[in-house]
Amino acid sequence: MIGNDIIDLKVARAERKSENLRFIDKVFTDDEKTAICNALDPELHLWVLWSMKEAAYKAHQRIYNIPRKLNPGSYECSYSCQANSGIVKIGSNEYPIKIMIKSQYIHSTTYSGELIQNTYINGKSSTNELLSKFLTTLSIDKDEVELYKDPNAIPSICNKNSSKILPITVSHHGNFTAFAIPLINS
Amino acid sequence: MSEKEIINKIKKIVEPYVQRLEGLNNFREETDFLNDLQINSANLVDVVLDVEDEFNIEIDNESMEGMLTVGDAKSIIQKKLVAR
Repeated sequence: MIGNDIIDLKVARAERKSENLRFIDKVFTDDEKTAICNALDPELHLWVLWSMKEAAYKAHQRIYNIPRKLNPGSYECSYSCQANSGIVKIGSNEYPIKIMIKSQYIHSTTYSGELIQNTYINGKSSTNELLSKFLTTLSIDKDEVELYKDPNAIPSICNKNSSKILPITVSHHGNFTAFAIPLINS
Repeated sequence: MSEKEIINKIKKIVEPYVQRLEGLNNFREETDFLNDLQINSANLVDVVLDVEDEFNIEIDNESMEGMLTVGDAKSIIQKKLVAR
């Protein structure tokens, strides 16, 4: 189980979604709507919940190998801003989420164990170049691995020589790209 | 409304949200909003709202779930227009 989602706050805040009641209706449960309304910073709260849903959705999709779906309204978030964490319920599944809120971005991740994650500013780099950078920090040689996406567009890293497969989760939004990979002692 | 008219309207609606402009060159039923046009999922909800406005229809959550390609959107619009 692994999933992440990054939100570029400059791009996101410009959309003023917290004032868009029709958007909110399509995406959030009644409890979430109330929480957004009552938040000190409704726009930030809305995007935290959105990124939690996205991270959980990616993990859920990977576990059950389900085709893509646009149904954010059926994922229920509970979020504790003191703990910077929360839980997303999808049916009978619960996904614990860690949320990192910085001045420029939000990065939500979910994983059952230890996770290595990093966020990059895109600049002029392609996702592939950033992935190489990320893999280098893990002492993985980019030339020895391949980014593979299954038919549901779920990514993994495959070692070309050993057929070893590592799950990876990738998210980009605006000027940021984030990766997360499980910490495995090999 | 003809299929072609519907698809042209869909193209106009999605244009502001497209991150991969090459995807617009070959805009057809198989075009995938996320993979081919790289529209992010929050903006895909915006597309759903804009489709509702443009065609004066309501897209329920069940229909929204499956709106991933131009063809999906076209079929949903056609169905809702008939039911209107």
